[in-house]
Amino acid sequence: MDSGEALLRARAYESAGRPKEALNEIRRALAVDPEDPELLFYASRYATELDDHADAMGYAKTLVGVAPDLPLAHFQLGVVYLSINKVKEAEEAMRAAIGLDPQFDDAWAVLSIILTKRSRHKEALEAAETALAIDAENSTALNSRTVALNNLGRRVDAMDAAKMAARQLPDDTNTHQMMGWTALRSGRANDAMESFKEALRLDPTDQDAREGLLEALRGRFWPYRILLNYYFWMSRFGTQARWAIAIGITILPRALRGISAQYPQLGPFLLPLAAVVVIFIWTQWFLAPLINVSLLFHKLGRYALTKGQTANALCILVLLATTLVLSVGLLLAGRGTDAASAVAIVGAICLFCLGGLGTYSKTEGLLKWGSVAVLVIFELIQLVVFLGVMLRS
Amino acid sequence: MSVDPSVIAALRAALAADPENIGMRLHVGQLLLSANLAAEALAEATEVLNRQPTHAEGLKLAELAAEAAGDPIRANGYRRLREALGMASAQNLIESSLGSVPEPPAKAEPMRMTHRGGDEEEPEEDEGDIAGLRAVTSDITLSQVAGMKDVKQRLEMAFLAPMRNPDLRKLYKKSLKGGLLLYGPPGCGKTFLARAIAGELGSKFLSIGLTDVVDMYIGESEKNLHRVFELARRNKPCVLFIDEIDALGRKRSLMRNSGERNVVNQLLSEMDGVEADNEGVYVLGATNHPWDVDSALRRPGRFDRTVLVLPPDAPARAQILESAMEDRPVNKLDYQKLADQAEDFSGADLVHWADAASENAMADSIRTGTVRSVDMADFKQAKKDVKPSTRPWFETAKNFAVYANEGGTYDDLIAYLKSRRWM
Repeated sequence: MDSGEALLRARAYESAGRPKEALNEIRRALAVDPEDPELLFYASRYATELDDHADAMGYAKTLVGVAPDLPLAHFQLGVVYLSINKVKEAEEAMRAAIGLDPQFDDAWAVLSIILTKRSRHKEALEAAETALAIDAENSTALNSRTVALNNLGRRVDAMDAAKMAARQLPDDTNTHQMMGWTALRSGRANDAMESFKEALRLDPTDQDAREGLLEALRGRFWPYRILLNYYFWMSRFGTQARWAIAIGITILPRALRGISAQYPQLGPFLLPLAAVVVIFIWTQWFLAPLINVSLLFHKLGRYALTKGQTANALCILVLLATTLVLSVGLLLAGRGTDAASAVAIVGAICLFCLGGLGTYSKTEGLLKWGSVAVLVIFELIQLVVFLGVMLRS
Repeated sequence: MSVDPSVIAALRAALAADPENIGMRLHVGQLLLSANLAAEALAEATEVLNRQPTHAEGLKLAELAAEAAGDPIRANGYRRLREALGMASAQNLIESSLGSVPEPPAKAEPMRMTHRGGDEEEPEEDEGDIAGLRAVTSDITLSQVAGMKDVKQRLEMAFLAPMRNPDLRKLYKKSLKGGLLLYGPPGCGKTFLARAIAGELGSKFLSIGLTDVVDMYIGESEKNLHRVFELARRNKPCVLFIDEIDALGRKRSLMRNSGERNVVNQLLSEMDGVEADNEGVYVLGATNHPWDVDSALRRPGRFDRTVLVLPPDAPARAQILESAMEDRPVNKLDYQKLADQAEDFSGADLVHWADAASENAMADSIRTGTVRSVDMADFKQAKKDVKPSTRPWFETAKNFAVYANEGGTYDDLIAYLKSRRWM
């Protein structure tokens, strides 16, 4: 089979939604003609689509090797780098593609995404707008422009951009997600929920849309909206600045207390401020997992939670229930407030661990089994305390 | 790997007594190959292929043996043949196990139709044929399909009964066109069911699959599709089966250019019978990705009914296992008990399980030099390597049921998910 026919068949498989079969066609042709740039490009593209990053990278690098003057080669290499989150290399490749063909709208659009990931929002906006100047309907650029405007804090412009994108791409799940995030930034959780629902209707397997829906559901509670605004504000900065802010906020209460110790006359102003910051820090730690508990009873919320989040929320629910039952039981049995508060303190420590897991664990497995393990350990301690007090006549 | 010549000799003697035992012949071939007797291995493989020309493992063995025997051209020929047949034979394997009858012998009329230069030696030069497609009659009936009681009942009421009773049909003005969309996890017998429907009706059966669709995209897609429908109309009553219909009737919003959308539009207008009368042509579609199928295809007169084909239930699983073990030496197998351990297994998974268990017993026989039957312990051992393949499908399907159940498209699925407490 010659490479022309293989390409035709591969494109046909692609149209039929079968990237795996498409890649197989290309691979067969590559066996005969291993340096055909077109074959290499599609091989890399289908491999990326199949999340086979190692192969995708191999094909893309070979492609750049055999056709270093082909803008598409550098573009594909950049796309592969982006898919494995190597943003620095991705930017270099994308700029190489643009250097060879300044009118390459897709390269500008993907560059915009890369720059957003590198927290260079102003440049990201410019790249998106350059892409749109070349092709006003470039879907990637339309969405990336909304993201950049949001990150620059230009909410009104972002909403306009999102609406424009939605008019041009009504069937694009990303566009509806951008609408959702933009609405959420403006504090309109219900609108955001509708947008994320629409995005999920278009592609129910989209994990980003599911996460968006989850944030929107939580955003219906005003304390969480404050937290969200803080996160959105943080997302404007680069990684290092974010760390600096987070650390700064953590040590701020101590600093405030230190100052008020030296200047007691400032105490009435600084100490309440310190308290607010402390509450805020704890909110960050606990709030999302606690709201997840309430989502267990929400029609959509139940499905928006991942398995790990559901397990974590269930553990918190069980903990709250048993802590309540045991401490009230002790009070009713006349065992005094000391015993009841001992049980409550054990519960609080457990909640601290579960909240931390819920907010910060990176993997589903850790979240699920970690939560279960923590719950079991602390429930046993609670039970020992309870029985110890009850049996001590 | 060194192979004890006495084992080969013993197996060959057994083979002389039972020359039709293809499984054993293949095994002998494999042993010969690993004993570096490539020419003899090739001879055994050729024997297998003489009996079943499309036997995938036979082709694989022939390919390896030819290569080892220093005949790369012949090896390449076997490889290409095997690749061309790969999909069709994989399907045959699943299908033959889902019915209670063994796979029809190779000499029988081929059921699935035949791609250009595919598995047939003398392609028929019928003028109406496109890409080797032709209508054939099917001799499988619904009673041979294991399980699927609900599905059969729905089929009976919606389609089969009206088709068998022309007077009633006239009385109630029920037309005999339209279609039915079968969907469900892979490997659960959608294709076999479609063939059984054609057999039940005594109508002709015309089947197109993914490779035909891809051929269609490459050629003049609209004309090719029109020819397929014309062929069905000429052969009415005819069941036109489109496997993996999501490839042909793909959601237009997923398409990148308008040329591709034309295929979907053409399919819609063919199903509507805009230019020709479709009376007597029933279109069956099957898909693992119902969510990728263009919703316009679900309108009345097209695929107006959607049927969920679920993994086999326990009695059906027992039946599938039993037919998979037919013709194999077995010892006190409790199929019911095995079926109970295999929840969520698809038909294909069950066949795989039976194969793995048989392999265990065979490996043991070779080790000990005495032939022994397949028993429960072999199944237990094999279970470690066989996992139900339908779960991931249900995970994905759940998302669609939650977020994209417009017009109750997935009500059947939701009912099932809820009954399993997965939702």
